[in-house]
Amino acid sequence: MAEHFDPYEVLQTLERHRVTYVVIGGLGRVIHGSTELTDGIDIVPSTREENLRRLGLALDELNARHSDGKALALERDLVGRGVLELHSDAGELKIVPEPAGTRGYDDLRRRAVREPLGQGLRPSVASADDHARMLAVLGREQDRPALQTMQRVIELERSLRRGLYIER
Amino acid sequence: MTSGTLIRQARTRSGLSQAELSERSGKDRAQIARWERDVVTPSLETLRELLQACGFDLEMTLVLYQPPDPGDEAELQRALERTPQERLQAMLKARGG
Repeated sequence: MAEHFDPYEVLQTLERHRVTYVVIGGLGRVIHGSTELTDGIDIVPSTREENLRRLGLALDELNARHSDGKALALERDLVGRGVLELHSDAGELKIVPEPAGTRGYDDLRRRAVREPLGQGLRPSVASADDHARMLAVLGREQDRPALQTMQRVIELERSLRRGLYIER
Repeated sequence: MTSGTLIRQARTRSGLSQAELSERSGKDRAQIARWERDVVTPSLETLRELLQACGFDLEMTLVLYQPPDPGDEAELQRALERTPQERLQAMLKARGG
């Protein structure tokens, strides 16, 4: 966990350029209550042309680049890739147009919640259910602890909404 | 995994809208929406019918129950008592940032 990571800088830059997106991945799970650590931010952008243009400007401002140092050409680089992994001055950034098990931004945004994170930021974060769904579809052993945590978060949140608390 | 998550996952993986699943399964669309949101829980038989209407089936086996580690559970419950902002800041502090 040595790399510099400033999620506030990333999110503020995206907001400044009025990019529409949903936060997913490790950071999204942390916002829901997971105690894992993460070095970066994963987002699902709307793939509308104007939004990708705005995202490109935000990525330029963050000095986002490929790990091999190659310059970024967003629309070209997104074609045929499940995940676009970038390094930026504010930490790792993954652009995921269509996460496994979902139909992308329009699918996730309906259940996403705007979470207040301070510094005037209220990014859209994919629901705990959708986080669990994405991990379940991937079916990777390495994701099992994160999946179990999300399932427990869902159970606890549901019990709290019903005025119950699950005792163990 | 809740039944609602399972239904939504099966429906979206098969590319169906709630209305299309309603038509295929003969269940009310509004009720499908309630099941997906886990507002109410369908019976096991109904769940299976819905998944089959999406082209999937439910395979269930008994496995040994492994209760959550009490330490992890206490940590998770403490995290849920915090605000999203506090959770993020706690993570940044823990990673030394």
